[in-house]
Amino acid sequence: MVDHVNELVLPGEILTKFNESEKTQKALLGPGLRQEDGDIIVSKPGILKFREPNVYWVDSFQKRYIPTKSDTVIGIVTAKAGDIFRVDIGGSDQATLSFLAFEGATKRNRPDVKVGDLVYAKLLVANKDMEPELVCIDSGGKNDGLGVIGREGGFMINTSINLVRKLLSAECELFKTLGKNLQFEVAVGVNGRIWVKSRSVSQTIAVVNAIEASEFMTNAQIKTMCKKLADTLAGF
Amino acid sequence: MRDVPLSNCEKEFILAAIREGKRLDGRQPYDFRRIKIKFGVDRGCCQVHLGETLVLAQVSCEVVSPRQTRPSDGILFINVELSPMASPAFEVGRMSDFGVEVNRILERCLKESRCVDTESLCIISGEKVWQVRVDVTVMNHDGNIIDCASIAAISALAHFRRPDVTVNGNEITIHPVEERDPIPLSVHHMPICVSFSFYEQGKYLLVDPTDKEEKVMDGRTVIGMNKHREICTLQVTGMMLLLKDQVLRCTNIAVVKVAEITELIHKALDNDRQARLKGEKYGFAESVVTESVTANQKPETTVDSEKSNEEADALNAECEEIEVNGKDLGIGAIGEGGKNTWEIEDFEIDDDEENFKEGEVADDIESELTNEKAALQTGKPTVKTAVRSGTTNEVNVWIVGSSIVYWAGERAEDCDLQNLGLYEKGAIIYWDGWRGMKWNALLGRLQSNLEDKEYPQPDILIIHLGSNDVSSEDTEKLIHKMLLDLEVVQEMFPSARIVYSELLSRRHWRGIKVEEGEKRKERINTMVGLYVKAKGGLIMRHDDIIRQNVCLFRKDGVHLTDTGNDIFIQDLIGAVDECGDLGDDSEEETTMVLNSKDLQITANPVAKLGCIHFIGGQVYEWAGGWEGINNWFLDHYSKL
Repeated sequence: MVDHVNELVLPGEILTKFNESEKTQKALLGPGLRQEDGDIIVSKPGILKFREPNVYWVDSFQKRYIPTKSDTVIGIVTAKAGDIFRVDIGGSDQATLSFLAFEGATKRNRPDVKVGDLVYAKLLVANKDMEPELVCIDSGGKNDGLGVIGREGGFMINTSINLVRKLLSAECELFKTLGKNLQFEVAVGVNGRIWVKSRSVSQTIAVVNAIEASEFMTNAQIKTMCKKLADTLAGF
Repeated sequence: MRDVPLSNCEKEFILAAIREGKRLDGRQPYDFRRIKIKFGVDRGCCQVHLGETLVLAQVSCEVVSPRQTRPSDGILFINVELSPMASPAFEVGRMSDFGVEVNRILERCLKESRCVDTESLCIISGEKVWQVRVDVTVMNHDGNIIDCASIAAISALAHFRRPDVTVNGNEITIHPVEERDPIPLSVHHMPICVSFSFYEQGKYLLVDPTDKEEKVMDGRTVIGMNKHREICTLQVTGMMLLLKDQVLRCTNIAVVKVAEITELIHKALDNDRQARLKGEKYGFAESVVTESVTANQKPETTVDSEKSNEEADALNAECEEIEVNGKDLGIGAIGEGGKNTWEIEDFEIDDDEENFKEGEVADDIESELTNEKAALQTGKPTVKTAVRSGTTNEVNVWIVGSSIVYWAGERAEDCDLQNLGLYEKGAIIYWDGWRGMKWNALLGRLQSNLEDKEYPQPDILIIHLGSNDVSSEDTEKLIHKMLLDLEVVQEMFPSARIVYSELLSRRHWRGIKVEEGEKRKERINTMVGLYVKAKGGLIMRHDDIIRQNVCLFRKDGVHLTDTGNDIFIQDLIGAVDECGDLGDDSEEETTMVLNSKDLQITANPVAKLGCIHFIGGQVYEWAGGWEGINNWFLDHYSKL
């Protein structure tokens, strides 16, 4: 598979050329790759990527979110139904969020969540046969940044999954460069939703536009864009 | 489907931004988004982008009866469709409240303002008028559908061209596009809708709201106006009350916006017109943006198919050789099919013999039967066509006649069918059509072909002549002349088979009434046809060229259009095929053995010994003479 890395692959292709050392090892197959009867088949069009020691995946353009276990996502509460909240996370089904899945919540001490609130939650259960389930605490009972967000302002945008992955990767310079000149808070959900809050409305709008514009830019271009943005904002 | 809900956070943010006079995309509160107007190749097709909102409008027209109350006005019909591809909130089929609202606003804006002159759409008052129909489809919803739809609709109406019409008393002629240039609709003015969304009980207002801004608004005002500052429609929806000066403020803003947009529409129409005049390319395909990361169009990239080529070669090498049998011209078979498993009994020979004996079949038929029995055993019908004569492989076919033949020849040449596609069968066609030719010229023409042009002797001689004499000559005298001449022709070419091509129906007979012309033509066809058939020739019928079928005839009502000529050429091919290679042995007839259990007859068209109508309407000629038929009948029906 080594010589296919960083090349365009199309659905249906069978990856066959393994390194000698790889044949005995286990390889971790990420999104876009599937194993069937000993063959590794590509299921999404895109660029084949590799990361040490043994992770392979395909980078493809996608706007639709497919819930996967242990993803952190931003959801919108749409309804309260007895003990649970119904949350829209952008997938085909709405997810459930139990009201006990918050830090310090008990049967008497219900969390303060209203319909229309934004929640930053983690997917506990997510497969194609069941409704997804969210939680706002980790296994230790701590909320670790999860929970209701956006109470004090800020704005949320919907982007493609690629952009979100790009922003979350270690090489992306956007948040670092923006952070040098502006102060802002950001929550990135892997379902393509990004919540941003900055000092003022205009700064928030500026950051949001910067994020949307950086989808197809290289790091160098991002740096120039941020610089221009900072200059304009100074006089905004 | 459910639309994505708007969170409280977003709602508050948008309101906070509006309070500060800021918008999410950086616009000023009274700014429109970027408008792009594109026209398609078809007349009346217009696509408008308003930011991300996309609306397509298509104008079409047809002739209908006018309304009872307005007999001299044409009809303008507007239909707005909110397609589910625009937003998950739109359902297919069922028109939501919002859809009805958009429909009504557009109708009022375009119909009641009388922007299109409906009186000019009248053809015959009280009977026929044009109905112009505008179909507006919303393809993407990012706010402000009403404005976008109104721009699309009026641009499409201005772009549209309707066919030209001439009225002669009660006869209407609608000229097709190829004949006369279509004419534009008479558009007096261009009413355009401008939408305003209100927030905080009318305190703040935005022009051209996006989808998110629409979701948080209190109410909307739509003002339809043209550039002459005339308000065409005014609508306020939502839960809010407006003050008088707010409405006036909106109208003042609308005046400026409408002027700008009208300017844009005129420019777009002008660009399209220039492109069409200069012969440059125009239409949607030409206005797509390329060379951009988000464009749908990209330059070609080569795909490396070496690996797949290798694989394909490997697979091919593994396969065995497969045999392909060439069964017939154009048919190849791999392997044989299986046995028929439909449980239909094979044809029983016993029944067949029984019936024939009772019918007292003539001897020559019986001998044929023994030949056919072999074929009958397999239960297949056989059609025995005349065998090719071994002497020459060439069959010369002369097609002599009037302008019909001339134009058919031209059409055949255009379609590369000059030899009627019969080259393989050895036929060589000689076209000899002369416009305006009358019957008198036939013999002279045939003589000249033989001597001056040195055509070889014809094996098949197709004559299509006489239509031009119908009006001028007395029918019986004409028929008499035709029969005499045909006899001379047969003497001139004793080895030729004469094919009489029936005179065509016409939509217009020069000098006489249509019914009279048709009657005379029928009589000539019947009489001459009978004669030709009796002499061993063939009648070429043109049953598909009926005068009611307008698209077969040109505007003079006499000559054929391309479609009509194609049918004529097919009839010619059929006739030549049927004649085959007969030479002068007219007894080598085509025989058909039919397989029905009820009718075990051999049909013999040339042995003119009697014919009978069978129940079921089939006509067969029975070679056993009248007694044979009688006996067969008695026997057959005695069983019933």
